[in-house]
Amino acid sequence: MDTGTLLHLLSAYLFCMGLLALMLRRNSIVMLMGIELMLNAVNLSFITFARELSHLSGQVQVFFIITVAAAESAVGLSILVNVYRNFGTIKTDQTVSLRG
Amino acid sequence: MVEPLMLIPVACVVLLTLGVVFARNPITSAFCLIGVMLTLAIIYAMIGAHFIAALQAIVYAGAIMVLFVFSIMLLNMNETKSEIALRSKRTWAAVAVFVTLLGLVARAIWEWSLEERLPTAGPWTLERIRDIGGNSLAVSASLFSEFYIQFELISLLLLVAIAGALVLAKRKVD
Repeated sequence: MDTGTLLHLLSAYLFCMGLLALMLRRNSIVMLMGIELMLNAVNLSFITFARELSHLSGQVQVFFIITVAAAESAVGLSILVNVYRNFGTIKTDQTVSLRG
Repeated sequence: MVEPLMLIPVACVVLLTLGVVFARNPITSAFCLIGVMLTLAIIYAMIGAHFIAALQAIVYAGAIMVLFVFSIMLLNMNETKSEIALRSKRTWAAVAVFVTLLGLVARAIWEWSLEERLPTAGPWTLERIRDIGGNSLAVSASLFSEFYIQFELISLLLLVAIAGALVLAKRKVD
């Protein structure tokens, strides 16, 4: 097993753990952290492929993904603050109505 | 062969990820996630992606995680018991999806790594990057020539996200 394979396996593990956090937890903030884990897994995969194929496009894509992740978490967390103001909780099993 | 030094950050990432998913307190999850991101930055630096390593430490472990920690402080959650209900249908389904997906992907990666592959060396070998002056220079040259339209669009996206976050988080006056 070479380093590239190890990092690909780590990337698969990180993605599945992010998915597991998203499926198991009820706390919206921890679910957002699961999404961040999945984004990190994809970044790791991109960079490993970029190294194996001797290309730089993968690293540039990671730059874009990091920017989109920053935008996503800024908007997502401000939505969560609003949800907390309306419901008094951010557990997904208690915030069940669309009405604020 | 795997470089032995690479095993240390990989093991750290594996352990800290368990902390993110299973910690009872959200603040523990957040700090484990900071650890995961910093360790990933170390891995990126070890395989030669220096610019992305710096970006990962500054933007992910710095900016994004500060947002997370501040939101947790703002929302004032005190957990008394773990929210993962063992032996519920939902937990079993989640674990089944996890095991199946990880097994399939890991098997695919493993078989792919055993195949004979043609040497597909692109233009940017480590020696060439070193010769023109380093990874940051090469990435930024590519960013401002080949990808400049995407770069401008991303800056627009950040502007929209700032406006959206401001509008959403603003306290209603009425």
